[in-house]
Amino acid sequence: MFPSPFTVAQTLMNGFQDGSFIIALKASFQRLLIGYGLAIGIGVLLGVSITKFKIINETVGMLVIGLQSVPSIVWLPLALLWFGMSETAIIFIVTLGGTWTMTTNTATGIRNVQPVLTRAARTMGASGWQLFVKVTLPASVPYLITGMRLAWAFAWRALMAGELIGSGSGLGQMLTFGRDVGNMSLVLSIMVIIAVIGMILDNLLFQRIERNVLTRWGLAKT
Amino acid sequence: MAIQIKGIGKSFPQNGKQTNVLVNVNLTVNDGDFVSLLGPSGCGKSTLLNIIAGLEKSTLGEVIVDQQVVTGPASDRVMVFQEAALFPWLSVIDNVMFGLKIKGVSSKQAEEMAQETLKMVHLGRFTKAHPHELSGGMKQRVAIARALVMNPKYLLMDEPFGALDEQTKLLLHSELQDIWQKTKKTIIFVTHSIHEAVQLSNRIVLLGTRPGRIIKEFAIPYSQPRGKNDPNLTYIEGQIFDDLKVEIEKVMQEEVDHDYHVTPNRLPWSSDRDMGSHI
Repeated sequence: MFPSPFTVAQTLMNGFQDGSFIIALKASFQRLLIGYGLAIGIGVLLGVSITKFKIINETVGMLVIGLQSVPSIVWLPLALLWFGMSETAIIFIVTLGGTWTMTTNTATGIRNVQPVLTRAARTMGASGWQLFVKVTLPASVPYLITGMRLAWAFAWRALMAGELIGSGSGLGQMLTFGRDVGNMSLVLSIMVIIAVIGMILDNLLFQRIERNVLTRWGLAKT
Repeated sequence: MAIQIKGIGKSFPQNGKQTNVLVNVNLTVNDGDFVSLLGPSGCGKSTLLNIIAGLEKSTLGEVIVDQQVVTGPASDRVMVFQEAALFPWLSVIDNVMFGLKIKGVSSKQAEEMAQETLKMVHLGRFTKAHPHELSGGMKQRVAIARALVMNPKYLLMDEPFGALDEQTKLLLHSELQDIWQKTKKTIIFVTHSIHEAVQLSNRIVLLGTRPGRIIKEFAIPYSQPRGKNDPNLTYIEGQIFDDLKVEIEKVMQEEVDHDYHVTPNRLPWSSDRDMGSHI
């Protein structure tokens, strides 16, 4: 039941040649990007309002910490009930996967802005919204980047879990299909694709951005 | 009568009781003055500067700047901090242009002004660099340029050279004197270094501790630039030290043992050096 590396390589090649992997990748990435984008947007908004309004911090803030420890796939039964066996259900799971970590990272970032930076900006006449956009937000970028990287990892896992159960034509669904027809070389080649994509995006893209940001913000350990 | 500080008091609750940081501080700063606020750590000199800047509220009294009561920070009173507090995501020139852009100066004009001011602090070559590439002294130069470019009437400096090494500090001292003479700004300078205060300022306000209050004022009527070994200055330094001694003793007695005291021209007292009195 364990296919040889050559069979897997063969399946990979065939899959890319006949375009079935490309279609699956496209479908998966579409869901991922929508869900991830929503997660980042909602996460930043929630994070900002948690730090700005005490009442939100005491209500939503506590809730977020609780929700963070719930794996987002746990929401799938509810999502299927609300949205049916649809794209929306999977996107919902992906969004939930990334939102909470983005929220906490945004809030931490804003809380950890060095007070002397905002004080310096205030003596130069900055205040209110201007102070927030020009100083507080850029000063918390290191935390935002970390949040985005973690949110990406969580969203990616949530997507795979959601697709394994949900319908459509993504990588996860292909994996289920491979299991159903007993095609283990298909299952393994999709695992290879998942691993490679994860590696490329996390190590090459996010870690690089993170390192550059940390250096520029003077936070890198040398 | 540019800045009038009237009956300023500041207290905050600590361990359930009110701690007085500043009590009844009255001071008038005239246009063109270079006033040093000098005192031991914990005397509230930085707090007083923050109140003048409008960054902190006083519990009692008021600060009047050009006939107007201070209610918050304003760009006619720009502050330079001990940490350069540069914005790490902006290049040197963008840092200097920050305040101008807030003020609504056009980018082109702001850039010209920033270039000019950076030349004044001898950083004309580093406009495109980022703060993490600069040394401590260079960062502080940028911070000074960032304040000067706003052309504030008052320059507030909170131990701006406190974190720098001795050589850099000496250079920046003479440059600050030069800037003061060129721009005729009114400078309020917070420091704990007697030498620095005597070298730079024309007035020294001595603050005592627990509670923070003004204990004495010195005028330094000598021309600048001032020599490092000018006997007049050394004499004043000695005088100031005598006045500060009591205050330093107070701080030390709280921080170390209660029997700590300072005797002129002696090492701190120790029973080991009590030669033979208990034979």
